[in-house]
Amino acid sequence: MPMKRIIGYICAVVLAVSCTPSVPDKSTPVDAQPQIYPEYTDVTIPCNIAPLTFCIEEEGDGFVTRFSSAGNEIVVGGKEVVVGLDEWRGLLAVANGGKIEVEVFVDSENGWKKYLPFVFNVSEDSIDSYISYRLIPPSYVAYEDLRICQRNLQTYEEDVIYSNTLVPTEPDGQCINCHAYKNHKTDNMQFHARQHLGGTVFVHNGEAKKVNLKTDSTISAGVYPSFNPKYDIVAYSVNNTGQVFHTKDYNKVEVQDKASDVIVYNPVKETVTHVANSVDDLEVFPCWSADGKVLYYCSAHMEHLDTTLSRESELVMRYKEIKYDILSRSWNPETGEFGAVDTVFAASALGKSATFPRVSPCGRYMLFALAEYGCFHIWHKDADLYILDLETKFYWPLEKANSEYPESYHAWDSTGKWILFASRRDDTNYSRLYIAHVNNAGMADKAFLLPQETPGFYDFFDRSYNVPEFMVEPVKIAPHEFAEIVKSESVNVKYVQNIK
Amino acid sequence: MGLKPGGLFNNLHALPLFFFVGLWLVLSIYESALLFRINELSVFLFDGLFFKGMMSEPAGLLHYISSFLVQFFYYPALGAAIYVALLYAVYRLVVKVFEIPQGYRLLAMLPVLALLASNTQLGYWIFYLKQPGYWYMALLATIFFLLALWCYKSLNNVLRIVFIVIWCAVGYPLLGGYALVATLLMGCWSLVKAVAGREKLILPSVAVVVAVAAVLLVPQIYYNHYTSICKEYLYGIGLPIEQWAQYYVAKVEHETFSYWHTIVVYWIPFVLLLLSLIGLCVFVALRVKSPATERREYTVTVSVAAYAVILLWVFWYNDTNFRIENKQNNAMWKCEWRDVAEYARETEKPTRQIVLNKNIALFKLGVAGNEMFSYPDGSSEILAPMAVHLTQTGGKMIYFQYGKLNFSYRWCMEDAVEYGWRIEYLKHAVRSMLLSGEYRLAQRYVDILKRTMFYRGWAEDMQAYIDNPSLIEKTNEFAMPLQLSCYPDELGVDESFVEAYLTGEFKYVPPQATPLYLEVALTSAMIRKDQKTFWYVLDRYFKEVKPTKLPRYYQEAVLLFLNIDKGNTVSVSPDFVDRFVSKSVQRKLDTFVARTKKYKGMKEEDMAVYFQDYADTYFYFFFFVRKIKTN
Repeated sequence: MPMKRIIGYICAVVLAVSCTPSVPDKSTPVDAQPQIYPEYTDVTIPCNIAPLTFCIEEEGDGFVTRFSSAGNEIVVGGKEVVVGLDEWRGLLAVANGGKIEVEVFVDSENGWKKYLPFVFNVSEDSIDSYISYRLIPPSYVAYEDLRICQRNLQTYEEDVIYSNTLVPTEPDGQCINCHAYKNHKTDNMQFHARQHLGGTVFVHNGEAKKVNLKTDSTISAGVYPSFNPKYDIVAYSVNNTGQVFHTKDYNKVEVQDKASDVIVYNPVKETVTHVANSVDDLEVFPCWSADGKVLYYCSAHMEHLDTTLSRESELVMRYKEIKYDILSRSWNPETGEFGAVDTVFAASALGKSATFPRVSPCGRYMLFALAEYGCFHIWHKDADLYILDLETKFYWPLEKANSEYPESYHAWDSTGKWILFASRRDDTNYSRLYIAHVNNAGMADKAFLLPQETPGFYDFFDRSYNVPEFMVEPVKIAPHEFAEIVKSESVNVKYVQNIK
Repeated sequence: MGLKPGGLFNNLHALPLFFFVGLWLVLSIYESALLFRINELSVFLFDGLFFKGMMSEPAGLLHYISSFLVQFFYYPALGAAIYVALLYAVYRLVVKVFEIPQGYRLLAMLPVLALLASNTQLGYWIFYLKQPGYWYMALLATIFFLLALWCYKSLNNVLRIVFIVIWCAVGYPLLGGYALVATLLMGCWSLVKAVAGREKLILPSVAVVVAVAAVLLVPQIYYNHYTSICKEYLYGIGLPIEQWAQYYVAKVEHETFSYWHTIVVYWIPFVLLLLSLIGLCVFVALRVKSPATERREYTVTVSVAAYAVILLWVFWYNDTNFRIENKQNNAMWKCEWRDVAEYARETEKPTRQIVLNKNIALFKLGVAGNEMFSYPDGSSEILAPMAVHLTQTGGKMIYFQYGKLNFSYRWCMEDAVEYGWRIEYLKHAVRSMLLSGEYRLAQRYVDILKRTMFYRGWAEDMQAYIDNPSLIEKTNEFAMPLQLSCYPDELGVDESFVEAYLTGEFKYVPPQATPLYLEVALTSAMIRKDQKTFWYVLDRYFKEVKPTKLPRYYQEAVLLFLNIDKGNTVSVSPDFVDRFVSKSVQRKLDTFVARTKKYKGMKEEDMAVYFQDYADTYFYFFFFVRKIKTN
């Protein structure tokens, strides 16, 4: 190749890199918004979120995107729209409480086209700075490399909290799950490790230990946790869970509890006791009220009717009849006694099944997932998020935030203004994290996908995000320290009649 | 007669060349199906995230380049040429770096043979390896080591110490445990050379100490940087350490033989590789620089040749059934159904996968009822020391063809979790979701395949179906799975036993069963020797398909079952047999029955010998093919 041509190419590349893109002087308007992925058009975003990067999914030879608000603008070139962090923060500051208008220009055969602008509604409500989630392939039985990660929402920085590859996992393997925090802070938190070196890694006032929550009186170790926001007590479900597979249904798998109860754990005295353990009921997903004096949980009534079948087989046969209601029991922190069972939301009466109640920090709203049947709604296509007003008992779907695909595993941030949830809407199989703003009336705006530094990140990322949780601070214990805790001996808890 | 250098064996200098050319021929012809399958059980994407993922662990570069090279096995001759060329590069580098004189050069084949054995030993491990680039990892690591040693040699003693530190620090994240071994070998080389040369030992000793210290410390320093490796595997990462970490002994049972196998055996080629490199270091240190005498050359030639024969005899996994399964699988992707069936004739004792693949092929060809019992049948044990499940080796294809689309997809996901996404899984995921109507999900996997070097075309073909789903029903390739997915949804668990699960499923015949479904259910009942279901399905077959004549094996089953039942539970119209069962079939059963009377009292397995001329009949299958272990 002649040297001149090589130099020419180099110059062209240098020019292309160094030129600031400019908005075309002339353009033909297009009466439609541009196709972009992630679908960020007209979403509501917090004033402290990292830049929303996206790909323009329109055909063209050149692409220019202009972000503008109150006379300030950022112009970005390219099909992949990536804004610098500092520029973005400047624009967010200007647009706080208002809008950022996004205009997309595409150079086509007939010259530049200008699509209808869309907006980012910038909420004055800031969002908790951190979230954590488990990254897991959307598999059924197998697990290999699992990670619990934390992500700074103001940047794209992601760190591992703990990975099961930090300990030798063969031949049994190690599953890790159900990370949870007390009041969105990380000095009191927990996650479980199962099978090899199994136990609950429990951080109590900054000190980490491994606890064996299984006793002779409970059916399993702790599973779904809920920290009491006010007192040193944690509620768990204990579950005997199995999976069966659909031969041709979209839902593909049914994750069922063959038996489940609810217990509470006192991390100071290392004791547990039952809260709900009826033989004919499947109790699961505990959740404390904001004042720590009421424990909510889900319960499905399933009597063993056909004695020619085992209970497990009957549950499989009648899987569509398993419908969970949301119940509650008051708790007296003085005596440690639980009150009578109340029905908070009788989903079964509606022919539905309600799971995962999560009470807002203000205590007024309960966010839950609702579908036709069962408890594992992330595999149920019809699963949507609903809010129940605990004062008025009115409930409604989060229509703007929901999709025709599963939504579940939701969490409130510490302000109660933002919710985070997993949805399979992108490709129907891999759950991704969506964030939605919730106003004072409990209405959610259109949700937006967790932004990534690279717009095409999700195209090839082969993990599902699950159990998303907000945090106001990062986890301070290093992954390798957690690994040493996991390798250590467990503290065995004792079963008692009263948790106090 | 005086011995002189070279001489008689000068012509043997070409031996390595013959070996490499011969190896290329063997790999590209005899093992072509295996190489293609290895490519399908790997993946390489031109994508930043893929690169980043690989580099997030020590030995990332080795994984990355190895995975890149494995994909060339898509064209077995091309892939084999690259592989053999790299082995040849090892040979040449060994000669160069260790300065092996004429007459001794065949010694340079020792690491080459060990590297080759580390790959040819695998057999069914190809389905269970968690390193997609396994085939090239040790090979590339050896090349990197030899190049590094070449540099190392050219330095003075002080700079060598610096080089050791830099090599170990830079090499560990890129090459993992291989870099550590190379570090020790460099130290070893310095010391042995100094001792043999009666040089001052101070600096070489320091080099050894530094090498050992670097090997011990560097992984520890990196440990906190990586959040994906555990301390226990720190020093062996990059090697298949997790794969063969546990010591266990298993009894491998086959048709005519059995033996005890310990998993440690898989490490032998790696140990031999290490020993050969240490040996070469010593060889250099002993300053063997003059060409070998004729006798020595003869000794070296014979020894290396014998070593090669023994090593490859022991470590070249050679199992007819394994080869047939791979050939069948490749032919199934190409829709070469007659070949799939004919491959099943290449063994007398097939595995269940071979039988199942053959049956699928016969259904595809529309000749199952006339041919399916004319092939060798049985359930030969898998020749492997570990539990080999059909779900990993061929279950996804079988489920897909039998219309169990969710189960095909499910095992793609399960195995992708366990062993990482591979081309084969991605292709099955695309097809199963395409036929399930889940186009968005199929699109995801199509987009991934579009980022590969050799499967873009295939992905584009599938893209056409996503863009225009009405084409799916018009495509011959999809006719069988679509026709067999006429059942209503239900919940089930296969417990990794594909055939047992399918057999159970085809006991049930849905009201909307297609003619093909009825045929599969009918043959399934015949394989199970389930007369009650056979009659039920046959009745539906007559009512719904309205055949004018019956395929041969259905005739045989009808006649045999009527003969056994003797009118106790089944009654057919008087002209049924005359109308649907040919005279030749009737005669054959008569002679069969007559012969059974002749050998009455004899054990079945002994009696089977006298019925070989009936081996292609259903009567034979019914009475003499017993104890089939479904997989």
